[in-house]
Amino acid sequence: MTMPAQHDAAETAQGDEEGALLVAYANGDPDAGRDLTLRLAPRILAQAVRMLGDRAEAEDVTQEALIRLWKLAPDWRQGEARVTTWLYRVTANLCTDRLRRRARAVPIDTVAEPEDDRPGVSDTMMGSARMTALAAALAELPERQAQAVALRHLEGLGNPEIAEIMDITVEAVESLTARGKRALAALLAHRKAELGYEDD
Amino acid sequence: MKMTDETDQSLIDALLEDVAQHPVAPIDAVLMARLVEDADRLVPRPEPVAGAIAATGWRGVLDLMGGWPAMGGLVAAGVVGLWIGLAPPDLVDDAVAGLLGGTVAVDLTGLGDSLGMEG
Repeated sequence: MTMPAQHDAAETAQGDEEGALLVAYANGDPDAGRDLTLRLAPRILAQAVRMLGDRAEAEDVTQEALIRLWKLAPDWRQGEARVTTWLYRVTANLCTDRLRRRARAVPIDTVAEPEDDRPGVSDTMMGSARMTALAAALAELPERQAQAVALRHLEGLGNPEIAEIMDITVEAVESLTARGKRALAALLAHRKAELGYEDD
Repeated sequence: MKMTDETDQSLIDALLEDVAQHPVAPIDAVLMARLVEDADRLVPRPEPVAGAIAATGWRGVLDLMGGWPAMGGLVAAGVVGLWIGLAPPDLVDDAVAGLLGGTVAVDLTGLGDSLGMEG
C-alpha cells in the first residue's frame, strides 16, 4: 500500500514533469504537446463524463480544456501551480457552464427517466440513468456547490486540493460540500425508487 | 424527520459513489487524433531573441552597428579626424599650445612635408 507521503511525492514529481512538458511545448516542441495530450485527455474526459453524464458533451469539454491549455502555455510559470490543478478547475468550470445552460433549457423534472424497467435491466443502463439524474441535480445547484461536491465525491480529491483548485479555504470547501449534498438530497429524494435505491 | 434526512443523505452518498465508480470508456482514435491535431496546430512559435543578429557576414556587422545611417556618420567622423590630423587648422594649434604651453611637431613617417601642406 502506498503511504500518503509517498503518494504526494509521486504526484508532485508527475506534476513537475507535466509542467516541464508544458514549458517545452511553449518553446515550440510539438512532441511535448502530444505527450501531454495522451496523459491529460483521459483524465479530463473522465471528470467531464461524471459531471455531465453525457459522453458527447464531455468530449467537447475535453477538447476545449486542452485548447485553453495550449493557448495558456506561453504564459505558464513552472512551479507556481500544477497543470492538473489548473485543468481540474477549467474542466469543472466548463462543465458547470454547460449544466447551467442545460438546466435553463430542460428543467430537472422533465429529464427522461429510464424507459426499460423489465427484470434484468442492465447495470449499464441503470448506471447511465443515475449519471444523468445526478448531472441534472448538479445543474440545479449553485455553481460552487456543484463543483465542490463533484471534486470531492466524484473525483475523490482531498479538501486541501479542492481548496487550491477553487481558490478558497478548506473550511469553505467543507461548507460548500455539505450544503451541496443536502441540496442534492432534497432534489433527488422523490427519485429514489426510479434510481434503484428503494431497498437500500 | 431526522430519519428521512439521514435516508436521503445515504441515497446521495450511494449515488455519488456509484457515479464515481461508473467506468468511462477510453478515448477513441478519432477524438485522440483531433486533440493531437489541436496541439500541433497551436504549438507556439517563439519569437527570435531581441537584439540577436538577424543576418550574418558583413551585413550582420552593419546591422549590429546601426545600419547605413550610423555607418554614414562613422565615415564622416573618420574623414574629419583624418583631415584634422594631416592639416590641423590654426585653431587646433592654438588650442593645443594654450593647453600644453607650446607645440612640438614630430614627423613619424620620415616623409617630411612631402604633401606640401605646411606651406
